[in-house]
Amino acid sequence: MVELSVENIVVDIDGNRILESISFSAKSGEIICVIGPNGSGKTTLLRTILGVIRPKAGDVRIGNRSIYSMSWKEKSAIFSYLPQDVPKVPFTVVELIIFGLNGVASHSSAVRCNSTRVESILDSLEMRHLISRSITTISGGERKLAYVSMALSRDVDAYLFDEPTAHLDYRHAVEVMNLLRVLARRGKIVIFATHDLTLAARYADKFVLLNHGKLVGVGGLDDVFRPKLLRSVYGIEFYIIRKNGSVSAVVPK
Amino acid sequence: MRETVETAYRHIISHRIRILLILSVLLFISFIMGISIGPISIPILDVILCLLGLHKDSFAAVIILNIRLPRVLVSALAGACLALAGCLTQATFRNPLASPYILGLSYGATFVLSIAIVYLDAPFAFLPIFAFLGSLLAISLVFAIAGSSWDTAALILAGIAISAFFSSLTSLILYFAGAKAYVIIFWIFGGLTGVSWNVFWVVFLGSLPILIAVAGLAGKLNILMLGDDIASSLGLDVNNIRLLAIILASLLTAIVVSYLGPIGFVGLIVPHICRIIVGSDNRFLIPASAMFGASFLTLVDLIARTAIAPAELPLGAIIGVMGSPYFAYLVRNRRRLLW
Repeated sequence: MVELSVENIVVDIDGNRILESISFSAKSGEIICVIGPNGSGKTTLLRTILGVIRPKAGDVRIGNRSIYSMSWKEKSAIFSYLPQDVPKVPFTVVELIIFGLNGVASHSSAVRCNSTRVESILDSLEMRHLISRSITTISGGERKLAYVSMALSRDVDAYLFDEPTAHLDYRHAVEVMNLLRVLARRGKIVIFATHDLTLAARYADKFVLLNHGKLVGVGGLDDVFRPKLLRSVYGIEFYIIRKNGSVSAVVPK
Repeated sequence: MRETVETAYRHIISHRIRILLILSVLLFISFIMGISIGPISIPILDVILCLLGLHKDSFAAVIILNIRLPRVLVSALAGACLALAGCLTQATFRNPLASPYILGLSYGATFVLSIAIVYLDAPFAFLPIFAFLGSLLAISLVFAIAGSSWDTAALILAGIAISAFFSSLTSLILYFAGAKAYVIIFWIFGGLTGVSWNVFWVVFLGSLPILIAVAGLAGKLNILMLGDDIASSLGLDVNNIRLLAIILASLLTAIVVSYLGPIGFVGLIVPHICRIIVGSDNRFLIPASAMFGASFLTLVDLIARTAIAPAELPLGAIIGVMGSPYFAYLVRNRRRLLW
């Protein structure tokens, strides 16, 4: 059982306060969704948890250890990260996946992978026909899926996905979310940021709502998806459509 | 049969190993040609017998052992060094157009070397130290200006600014250099004229550990190319690896520039062609570029010393004439670049 706790982190970048006293925790098996308008600090929060940004104050802990006291190698055994914008690199999809699986240990042609799991991810995301293609010659959405496949293939404790469904059609977006749910059921921590409030409401167990770098809501669906709170953050009204007691869609009025 | 990750990957690897074998044959052929062809041509059989230690006392052996062998070995080593410096800068800057020449490394090295030659009377074996300081200065400035942002325009513009700055400073030094200007001008042409075993040993002992270090870095360069955040999440200490890659690229450039002059475009053309034939995985790209770079420079040097024999054409100028249109082609067709 792993617990990740974000404790009062404060992040300044170039003299600007980007995150202000953010605290929440995530347990094994939980899907946490970070939501908020553009520029609210979602990406910065994920990158701070990953450790590429060091907070001015506060800490991120896995169990009792601060992630900032760990080496990159140690952190790589804990986190799998998917950035919002995925780079166009001159590798084939299969190389990308292999590099992700091997990490810095990549030497010779060692294929160290749980092949059944990787193969099923490729099938779910319909990526098989693209595995020998170069990342530079496939579409933007396919490129995103290639990186999603890489990040999902890794066997770690926590998955930090920044807008995993951006650039994806509905079917693929749902598939990606289903795969994240499978990981959570296997006891992994999933933290993802998104602008898609419907997907957020349908898949996440817990929500972290940011606005101008401040934590304005944290908790379950009923704590965060309150019309008044969403209106104050996004500046518009939302329809929160429920079916059989659970939220089936969140759309702007 | 459906293609799995493992079968697809095995397929790619075995294809690449075949290409590496072909490139090693090409290297061998260019090596033998480089020794065999010249103002006095030596039959290939004699070349091979001589290299095997037979035929020691013949006239051909004197030419081979004293003149052609050191020259071919130095050109091959220099070609490998320049090609790998290109692989390193391209991975570090995440840009296929980033090469030591375009980033201005060679100009930085030339500038500091000119000071060393004109004002410090630096001894022969210490020249690479000055060239290294110059390349490191240039690449640090480019990095400070352009960063590793995948932005080709920023990178090329930074390279232009740095190259112009250092070449102007070099011109000023030349202007006030008096009689020593001739030494520098001849050296700026770039070439392997009069290369001796002394040069070979300095280049060989200087470059071998660096070439080995670069090969050891290959897997990490692949990860670095995925961007800082992904690379960090995969366990790479991004800043340290980038610094190491920049230092190694500067060292490789420095060794070559010190003894052969500022030879451009090898670091651009060779990795680019190799990327087309073996892909961008640095574990294959690096050995492929080393072998192809070695063959390339050996063959161009062969042209340089035979085209108007007994006189020689300046090697740097020939590669410049070949390389500039290639660079222009890449810039014009950058949408079709592999990256």
